[in-house]
Amino acid sequence: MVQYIKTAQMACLEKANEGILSFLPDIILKISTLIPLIFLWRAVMSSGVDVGISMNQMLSYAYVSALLSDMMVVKTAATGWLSEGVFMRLYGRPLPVLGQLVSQTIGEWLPTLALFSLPMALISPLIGVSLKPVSAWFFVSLILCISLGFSIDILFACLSIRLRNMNWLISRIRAAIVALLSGTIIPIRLLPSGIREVMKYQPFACLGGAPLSLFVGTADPCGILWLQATWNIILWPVTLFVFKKSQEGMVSYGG
Amino acid sequence: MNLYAISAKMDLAWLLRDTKYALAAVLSDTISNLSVISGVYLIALRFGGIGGMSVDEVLFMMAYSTITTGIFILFGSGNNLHISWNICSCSRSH
Repeated sequence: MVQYIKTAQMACLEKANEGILSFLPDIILKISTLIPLIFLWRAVMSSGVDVGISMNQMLSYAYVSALLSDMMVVKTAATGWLSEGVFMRLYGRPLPVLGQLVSQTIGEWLPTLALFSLPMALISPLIGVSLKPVSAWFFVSLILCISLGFSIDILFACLSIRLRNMNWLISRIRAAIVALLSGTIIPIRLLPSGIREVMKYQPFACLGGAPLSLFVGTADPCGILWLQATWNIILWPVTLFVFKKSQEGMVSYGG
Repeated sequence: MNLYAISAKMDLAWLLRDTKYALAAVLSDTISNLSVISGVYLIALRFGGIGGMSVDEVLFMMAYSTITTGIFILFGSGNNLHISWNICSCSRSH
């Protein structure tokens, strides 16, 4: 366990080795996105249409989604297996590759959590957003969401191994699919009837949208947790199998 | 003008150099644009419009934005319009 903590610590330090000021552009960008988003949702929700979610719930949903964005839809360094030479570093250490990826990714989250999420959480009352979870099951759901996020990310990484040199295209497809289907940007509850019922059962809906809906109390914890656990049970064996097969197909710099 | 024509021809050849790659590129663009449009459109549909605009007006805005982005990409493929990216990333990589 110590070696994984050390890996996370190294990843955190690596990301922060250019100093705290190097995070400033990223933080400004995140704040510049979050604040207009809050006003946008205020404008949309003030239309008075009953969609089963109040304005305060919606604002909390959008705010928490932004604060925990790294966890809502996990993105590891695995997507740059070949183009960025990530695999050389991972395979050069005497630790399981997937374990390293997980601890490295968690380590990379820490600076953003400390420099963006924490300060924004502290000033949330000034913006009029409540950050008190309605259900404690949110935390369980978040863990299942992160676990599923790693699984889905590794599956996409395996796809990039199979399709060689198409990282950019795969990342575009992935971003588009996740943006629409995960519910992190637009809650699935807000989609028109019919589409909403179908969408909530697909695996991407068990990513960010699931814990967020428990956070604001717009979903039944039992149903959400069952669905998340089911997708974890289905996708993790598939991920491990596909990853094992894909490792043999890694090609970089002609070797 | 001939140089521009040659450049356009080279870009097309680059896209069509491999069937699998060309299909993936078209698919990725289609999915990406559909995702952007459909998200906002579905919200507009549910709320009967956004910010005083009707559903049709929102759809028109999304289409207009897609066309504008398309024109931008048409003349900016290969990071032609992202000078800093070319100078920084490419010079560092090569």
